[in-house]
Amino acid sequence: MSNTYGKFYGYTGVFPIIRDDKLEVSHAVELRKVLSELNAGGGSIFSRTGLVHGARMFVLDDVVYNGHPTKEEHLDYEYLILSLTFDGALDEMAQRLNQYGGEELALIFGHCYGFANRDTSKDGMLKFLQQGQVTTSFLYVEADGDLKETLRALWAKKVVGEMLEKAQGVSTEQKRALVKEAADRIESATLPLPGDFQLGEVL
Amino acid sequence: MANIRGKAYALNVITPMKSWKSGILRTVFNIIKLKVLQQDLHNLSFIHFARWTIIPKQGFPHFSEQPSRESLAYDYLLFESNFNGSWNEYVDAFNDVLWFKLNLVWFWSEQYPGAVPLTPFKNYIVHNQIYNDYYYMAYPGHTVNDVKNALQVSRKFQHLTQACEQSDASFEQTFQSFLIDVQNHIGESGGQGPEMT
Repeated sequence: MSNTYGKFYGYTGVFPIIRDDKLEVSHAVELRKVLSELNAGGGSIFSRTGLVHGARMFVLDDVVYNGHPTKEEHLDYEYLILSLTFDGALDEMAQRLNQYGGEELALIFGHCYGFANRDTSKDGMLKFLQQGQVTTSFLYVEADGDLKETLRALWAKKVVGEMLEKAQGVSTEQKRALVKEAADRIESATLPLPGDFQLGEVL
Repeated sequence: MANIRGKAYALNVITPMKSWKSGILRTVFNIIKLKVLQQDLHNLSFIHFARWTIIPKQGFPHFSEQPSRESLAYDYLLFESNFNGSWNEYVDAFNDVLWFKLNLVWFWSEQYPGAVPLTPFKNYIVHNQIYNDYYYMAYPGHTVNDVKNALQVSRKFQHLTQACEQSDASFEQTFQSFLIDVQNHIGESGGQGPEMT
């Protein structure tokens, strides 16, 4: 099993989208509209979990035909593919999604089989995610910091750069004071939300 | 475009594969899981995270409310990558450095033309690529190298702060060592990133 890479979890979910021939606009089309309008920045559904490094969703309408002599075939259902790379384990992720997912959860997964009838507890969310899960065969993550450490480190890099600029040609005592001041700035900063472009303190 | 978020691009490629070949590919994955064989991937240093997923023909998830099950002839191999730079830069670099491993993995997919020459390979990727409808990155303004540099600076700075209570001579020495260690890792980063295609 390769759902994990060190401290990271790579979740791959394949959720069948509800097929209803009586509808004028299909669930797949509605879902695409929802996904295109969904917040992808700070404060978004995955940002709120505080664990997710990267997430993507797409509707798989059908499989791709690669020409003769491959046999042409088609899917009976359209699928929502959900991929998450996050810190920790799936049960923690399910709990956070259940807790912080808000109305987006229903907006997204309401178009998929199994969501409306699920148990609404965190265990129900975990079961839903597990039912749609396909084991990741090979996962690779380049940097080794968890989300909290990474966001703080990005801010620290900026602060340390400024500190080193000021520390040129000053006394040892002044350097010591600059280091302490930089450490305080790093420690006390209120960082932007995961998913934000902004770097540094939120004023 | 949902394939791009700040400085990152999200690529999805799905290809059909005969079921009996999936077992071989799983063995390939078990071999390249060895960290020592991932050095070239580390050296590329523009992939945040990547994954390969084999979806067996009978492994498409089924929920009890569904009237029927999928009936497919092929397993499907899903490749997903998050990288910095444009699609062309990525495929070029990936192909140039990792052509052998790409062949090891995609060789089992139907009609795969091989990683070299480049043009048929790119055509194959384009043909089998599925665009994203939603893409989220927790630090969209930063490249992989920005993140790795930041972690290095931050961890080393913690050692420097611990040295504040040392004697002047000892602190000065630690400070100089810190400066030498991090001087190539403190460049500016962040922002929206260049326009990518």
